Amino acid sequence: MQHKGWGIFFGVVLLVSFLSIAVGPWVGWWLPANVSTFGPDVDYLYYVILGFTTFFFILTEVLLVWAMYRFVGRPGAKSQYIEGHHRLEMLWTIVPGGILLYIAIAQISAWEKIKYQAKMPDPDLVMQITARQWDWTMRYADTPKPTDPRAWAEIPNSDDIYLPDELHCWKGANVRIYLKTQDVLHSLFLPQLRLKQDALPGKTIPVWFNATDFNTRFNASTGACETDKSKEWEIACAELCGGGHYRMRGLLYVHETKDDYLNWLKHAQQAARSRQPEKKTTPVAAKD
Amino acid sequence: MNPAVSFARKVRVFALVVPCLLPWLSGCELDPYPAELTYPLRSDPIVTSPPGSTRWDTTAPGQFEIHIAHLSDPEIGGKTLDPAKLPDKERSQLAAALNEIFGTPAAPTVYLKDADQQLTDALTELKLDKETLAKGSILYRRHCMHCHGVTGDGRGPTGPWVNPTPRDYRQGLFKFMSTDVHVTNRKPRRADLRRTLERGIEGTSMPSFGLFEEAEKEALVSYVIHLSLRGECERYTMEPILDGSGLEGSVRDKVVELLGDFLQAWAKSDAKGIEPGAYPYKEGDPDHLQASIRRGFKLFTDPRGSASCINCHVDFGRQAPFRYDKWGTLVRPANLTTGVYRGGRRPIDIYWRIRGGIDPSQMPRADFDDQTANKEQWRDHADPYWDLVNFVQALPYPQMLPEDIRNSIYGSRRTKTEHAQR
Repeated sequence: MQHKGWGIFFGVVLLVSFLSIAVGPWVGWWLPANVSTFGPDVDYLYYVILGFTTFFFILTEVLLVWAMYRFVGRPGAKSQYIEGHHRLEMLWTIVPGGILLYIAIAQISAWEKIKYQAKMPDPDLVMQITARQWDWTMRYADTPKPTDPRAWAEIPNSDDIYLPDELHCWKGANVRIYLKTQDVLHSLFLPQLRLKQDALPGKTIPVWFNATDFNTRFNASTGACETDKSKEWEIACAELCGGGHYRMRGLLYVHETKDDYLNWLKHAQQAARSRQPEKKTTPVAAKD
Repeated sequence: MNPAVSFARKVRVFALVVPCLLPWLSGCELDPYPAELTYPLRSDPIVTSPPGSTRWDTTAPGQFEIHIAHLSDPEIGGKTLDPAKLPDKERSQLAAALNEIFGTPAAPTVYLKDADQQLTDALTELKLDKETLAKGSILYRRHCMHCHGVTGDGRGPTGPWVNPTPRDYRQGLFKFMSTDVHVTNRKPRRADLRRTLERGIEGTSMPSFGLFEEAEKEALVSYVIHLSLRGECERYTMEPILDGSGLEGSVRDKVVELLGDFLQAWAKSDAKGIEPGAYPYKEGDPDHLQASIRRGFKLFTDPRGSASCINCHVDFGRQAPFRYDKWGTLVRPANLTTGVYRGGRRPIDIYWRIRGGIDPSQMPRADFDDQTANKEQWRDHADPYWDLVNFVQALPYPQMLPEDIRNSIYGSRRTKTEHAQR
């Protein structure tokens, strides 16, 4: 009888792991709020796949634990030896095959919308991001949209400005990013925008997004961007790239309007083209 | 029950329970250094005089220590001192003095028992108080130590594998400074170290730490100054003992005396920066800019002028050989046609590099300060420093250069449309 303990042990472990995931949405362990136009498509696929896998996970684990509990430690009992069961094999081939086919077809429109270069919307804002060990260098053109975005992305201009780790755009803009890497593989990950794209050495990869919400207002008098603390949207690297992988953190600043963005850009350009030393005290230093 | 079975069962239960508990072992909080850890005394060779020769190859990955060990070979021609030869008595005295003044990695200090008012002021100005340093050391351990090392020797575990090698603070030498050129023993200003921290260094492995909080950046700057002071006191106390010239007083007196000097140098440097003259040209006027670029080109390429950049930045840096810097590492005058500026790409950054020089990598400063001696360069309200800045900024972008200059730098093979694309 004591051997039943293992069946109970595994049953409890699995139940606890399952519950700890199931309570996720109510305790803040779930997906961050979506702020991207194509976010619902990605989330839909995520939930469909999660639904299928949850169903089969529960089914198989319940069977497994039940079998462990039911058939363990019976002296003299012999296992059955089954050589094959044609109908059962057909069933467990056709059902997953059908599900995979469904997923393959269901994702086409989302993939087309997000990743197809020919289907990307005409950009309102073009920028170029270069990943390196270990930060992101964001390059902004003199105007939000250069005449030939692709050519601009490949060849730096004298009036570009460079900012580490800060991605600025405005709400409702079709943003086109040309993604490069200086060294190894990195992956640009914007969780709130449901956007993830690997950066491959030697390649320039276009990605796009359109944010449906904003978190930033530029304050012209202090020259600082005021970000809503409850909406701190991070940029992360999603491809292990070395010892400093964890610190490839950036921030996404979505301005409320294009004008607000342009005011910020003008300020950033002035700072980048400065011919005088910066003022000694920053507002924070003045406080202490 | 059979005891052997019972043992096997215990092992099985253990094997199942331990992995479940593992996640609790790794924490996410920032841990300080262990309290019992002390700063180790320097053991790597002190480069007293780097070789003057040039080379076409650089150090292979992981070979940094071997490279430094061979610096004093006769065919290379550098001079080094070996700290391993420090007599035991002086060694323990030096360790005691350094530990007394600079504390431990977990509790760093810059502590002077009988400091006069001037030194106390310097300590306050440079924010070298205990609390700031303790905070800085925790952050440093997490984010900087793996390249820059516990003592700031640039020899952390990652250090030898990156090129250029991480900065070794212990010589008290830094490259990117805006400190006034007339300050003796120039040190970087706090703002300079902060800028490097915030922006990282383009073209090297130094990333940006711009998203740190203000107080965190300030604490890291203080801690870097602490490590630099400790290392410099250590080095310049060791040097006279090792080269045989000897110390006048005790080892501790020497450390205290040096600390006083270096603190003064840091405080004086922090107080006075290079103030650029007002930009003499009309901002956004293409004619003014073209004329300025033309003058800058002339200053850059004149091999006998006060700037004479071309002598080291051979072919605008495209054909410059490696040289030894004061740390003994191999560095190359920048290839200025690539548009990568390690010290920053703002006009003011380039201005500081030109007017202040980059002392430790042996880049001299361009000196046009004497306006009577350099009448030609200052004529018609021109400013030779800004002329050089304008030229260096235009250099990577052919379409910004006047046609004859563009052809002399990039050749005339490119068609007009190709230039226009850039």
